[in-house]
Amino acid sequence: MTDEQPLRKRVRDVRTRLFGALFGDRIGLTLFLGVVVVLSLYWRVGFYIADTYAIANTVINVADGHLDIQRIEYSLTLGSQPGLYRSGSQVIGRNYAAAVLSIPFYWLLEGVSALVELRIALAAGWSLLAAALASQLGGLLDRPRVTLVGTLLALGAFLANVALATPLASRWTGLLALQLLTLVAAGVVAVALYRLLSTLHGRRVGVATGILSALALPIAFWATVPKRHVFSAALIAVVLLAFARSRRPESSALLRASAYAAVGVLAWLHAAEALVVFVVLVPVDLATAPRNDRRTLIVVATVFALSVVPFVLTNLAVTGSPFETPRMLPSLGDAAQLGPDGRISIETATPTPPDPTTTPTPSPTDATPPGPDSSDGGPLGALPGVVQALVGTLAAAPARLSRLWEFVGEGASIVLGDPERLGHVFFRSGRVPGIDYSINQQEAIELTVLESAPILGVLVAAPLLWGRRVLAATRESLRAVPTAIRTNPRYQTDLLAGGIVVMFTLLYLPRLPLYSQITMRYLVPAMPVALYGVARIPAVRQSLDEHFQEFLRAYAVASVTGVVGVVAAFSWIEPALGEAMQFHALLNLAVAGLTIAVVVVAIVRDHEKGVATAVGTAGGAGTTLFVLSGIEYFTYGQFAYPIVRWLSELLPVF
Amino acid sequence: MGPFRPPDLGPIETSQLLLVGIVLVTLVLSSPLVHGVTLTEAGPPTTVGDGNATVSNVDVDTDSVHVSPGRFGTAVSYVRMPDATVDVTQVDGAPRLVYRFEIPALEIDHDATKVLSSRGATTVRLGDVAVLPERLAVDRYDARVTVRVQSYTVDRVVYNESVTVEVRE
Repeated sequence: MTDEQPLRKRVRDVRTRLFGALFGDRIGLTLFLGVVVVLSLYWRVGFYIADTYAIANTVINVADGHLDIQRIEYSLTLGSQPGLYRSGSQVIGRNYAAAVLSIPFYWLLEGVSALVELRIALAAGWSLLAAALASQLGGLLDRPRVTLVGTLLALGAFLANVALATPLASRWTGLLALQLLTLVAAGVVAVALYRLLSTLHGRRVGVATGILSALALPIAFWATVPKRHVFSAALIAVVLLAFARSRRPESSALLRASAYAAVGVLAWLHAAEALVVFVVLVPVDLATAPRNDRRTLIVVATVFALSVVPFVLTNLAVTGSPFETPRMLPSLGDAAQLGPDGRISIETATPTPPDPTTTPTPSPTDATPPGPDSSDGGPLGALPGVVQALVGTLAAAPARLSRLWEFVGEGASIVLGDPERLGHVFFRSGRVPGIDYSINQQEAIELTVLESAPILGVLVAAPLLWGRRVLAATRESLRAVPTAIRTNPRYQTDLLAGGIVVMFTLLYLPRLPLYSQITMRYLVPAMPVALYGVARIPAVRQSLDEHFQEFLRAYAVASVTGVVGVVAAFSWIEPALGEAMQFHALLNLAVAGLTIAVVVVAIVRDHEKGVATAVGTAGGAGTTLFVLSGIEYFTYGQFAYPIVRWLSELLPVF
Repeated sequence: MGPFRPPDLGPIETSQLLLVGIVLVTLVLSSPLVHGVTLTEAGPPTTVGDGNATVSNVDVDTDSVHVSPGRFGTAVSYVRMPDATVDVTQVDGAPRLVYRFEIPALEIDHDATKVLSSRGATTVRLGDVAVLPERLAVDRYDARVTVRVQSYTVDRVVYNESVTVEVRE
């Protein structure tokens, strides 16, 4: 016996702990695989929204080893490049967090495409993941047949993909890497929600919420459209999970600090979103933490400080100031020239001074307006020293915070004073006044929160619940409320979740409704948090726990009959694109209404009969929309997997 | 190292090994390092190239073309476009069909293309086009429908009809 065995044991321990930290348990891993395998089915290699060009080009340039954009690999036009910024004579990209974290995927894909056909490699990856999913699922259910059938299906899919394969150019690796990162983020959302709810209410509630979070919310829609929203959603879900798990006295300071670390990464992705989460997290965390001794706080502060290092370094390199983000720079507009080899440069002979009084005009197809904090960007002369910049930033910090509050305040005034506008954001779209539909050929494809996530309608029942609690309250029970909040991690997490949903919504309300949101995508990062709220309603969680099978059955049946039924209905109705989307909108509103009714009756009668089925059905209605919009409604790029292209051509809708 | 002994494989292990084996072999075959095998040409062409096609019959239900109000709260009007069914008798290379619908008075010029890969009847679908109701000034519009066979080497009109589009309430 040498010391080989302790080493092996240690390796195993590290592996177990790493697995635990990433997935929680085997169910978490299965959920992750399931979400990635399912959502990647409608992966399309192409640009759905124009400023994805900018982010994909950022990936390529970061991989080349510099933060500024020198080479344009993906170009919409030979003229202006939407979504880019300028800093002096440099062209600057956006979403550096996503770009940098995509780099491992980029290298992987570059290596793979050098050795084998990219299209075949993608098909191979999918089938291997699908077989791994089948193996995990078969093991969990203790049904070997599931593993066998799943593996054979994966094999069949691979052979069919190879039979139908067409070449996929290796120049797509930058975009593919970004899409892979977003896909993984969608999986993280599901795992985080699963772990969060299984910590609070047991595994069944966890699994149900995990499935719904990634497949029944617009996370599914954006999972392979590499906008920032799914990544934001994943980070915010991690904040919530780390917060909830760190409320127990025995939990480590590092766990608590990881909530802050997620905020640090979020700042790198989108500073305003991070700031909003941060201002909610700090007071709730300090007020509800099991202990606030100096050591714990030092750990938390250190981890947070480390987590903002990439953010600060990127800003320093790009804007010269640690807290001035690339989005605060003036838009590139038409200032750049694109060479025939894809080299991009700014004419330095006639430097156009950036004009801080005009907000950058997005090009017609540029869907993402600059972040809420973009208009206070200023011209930058020579790079000031770090210290000088820090002093300047600290002086500017109150101004920035007050601007944030302006947005939030404006959002609050919309909530209080403009119910019609609020209705167009949350309830019914149709053709919304104020949205520029000409960008999308006058098609009414912009859905509201409830129309794209009918499951979230159940939250309407929450005030009823509170009302009953208040009516039933006695003086003693009211007096127990502060103690309950101080001691119960569930109430504490409710507080954080509620704060995040409210603040996030208020931040974006002044910009909504807006074109090219499709599923109110600005609010997508808060949707899994809102789903947490749905799962916390006692009637819902009890029903999901006791009638888990009914939930699963209802979800599966609703998804399948939804997809088949809508396709059948559409071959008869022959809708235009806008009509198809509005058909889903009305269908989802109807399902949401029924689900709310079932939940309300359950709350009033103190009997959760039918709630699990209703929740599953509402989830299935959402999934129906995302499957069909993923495969059929929107035409752009090429499907990553040939069999899905074949299926899409087979469907007789568009 | 003892002598090689085949492990007892159940159906699951066999299927998994089969999958991994086939995937690996296919990947190796797809590698540019292995000459002479191209797997990704197997599928039908998706982009237009050189070539030509002969067409025996083009069928567009021009009577069904009309403008009608959008449903489900879309609050626009739609020009309802019919499908074009084309009987293809011969295909060389990767030509495509271009099905085009023009209504000059409404500034509508809409087309759909389909790359041809095989003989037989094929359908080209054209999505409905949204028009703001306030732009509709008269009850009827003149339109032109064309179908072309197109490639880098040919561009031939195989169907050309003028159509009257009726505005329905």
